[in-house]
Amino acid sequence: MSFTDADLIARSLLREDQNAFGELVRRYQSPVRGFLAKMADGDMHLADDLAQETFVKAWKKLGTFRSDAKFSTWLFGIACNEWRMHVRGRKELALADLAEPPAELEQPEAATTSNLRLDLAAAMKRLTPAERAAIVLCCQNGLSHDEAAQALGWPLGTVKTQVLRGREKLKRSLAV
Amino acid sequence: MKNELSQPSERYDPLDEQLRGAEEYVPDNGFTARVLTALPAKQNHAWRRFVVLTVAVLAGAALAVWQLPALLGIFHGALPRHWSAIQWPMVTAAAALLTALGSLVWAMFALVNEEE
Repeated sequence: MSFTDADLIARSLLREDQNAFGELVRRYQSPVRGFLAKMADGDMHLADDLAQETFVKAWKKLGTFRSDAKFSTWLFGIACNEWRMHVRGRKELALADLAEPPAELEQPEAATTSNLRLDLAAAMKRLTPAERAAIVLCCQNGLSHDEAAQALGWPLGTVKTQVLRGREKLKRSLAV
Repeated sequence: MKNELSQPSERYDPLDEQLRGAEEYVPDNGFTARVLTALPAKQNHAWRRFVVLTVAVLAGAALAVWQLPALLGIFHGALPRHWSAIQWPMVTAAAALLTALGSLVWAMFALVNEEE
């Protein structure tokens, strides 16, 4: 018998059932770890540490989850915060923060290398962290722009802009 | 079971296909077990509830027995004469004892159900 996310959340909350929460972790570990791995440029150890912290925080804050949002959106929101805190903790990466990105941010090297065919992974690494986050959430994990805005804590327009820019850069890099 | 992340595409774009195709499933490899180990210890409300309930029941029973003579005096005056032959202190003490035992049994059942 399979339970819905809502069932598992209710069991986790009302009976503090760690097995029910474990099922939620099993369901969402792949997208959360995948997202964080992309943000961490493929560093799976770092992604796993951040993902573990994401799920521990989700367990602690489960009572604040509102059922009008999707559990995945809420979870990605926590994961984004974990990533932000990690980046803030590393001074050398402060400029790559996921804080709301500036309105105009174009990487000059993207234009000079636009004719090169890069594989997708390499092309994704060429995106800014903001573009990458928006692309991974919206285009790879199926979140709507609204949901991504909620998870990332950005205005809706910013998400749309980042997705658009990211897609344009990817198309140029991949010559799609 | 498909989770809520699966969504159909609105219109075809080769880039979308590439992006979705590149999204590989990350094998668990013990990750879930590590998360469950790292979760804060479960707060055992059941034991706390059991202790509070037991103390409350015993305190209530003790209070009832202690106050019984005074309460019985009031009752004796108000009751019909043939009822006065009944050993009310015994009946009341037995009722208090049964209530206390019943509450303890209920608390034990509640505790067992919580832990299952």
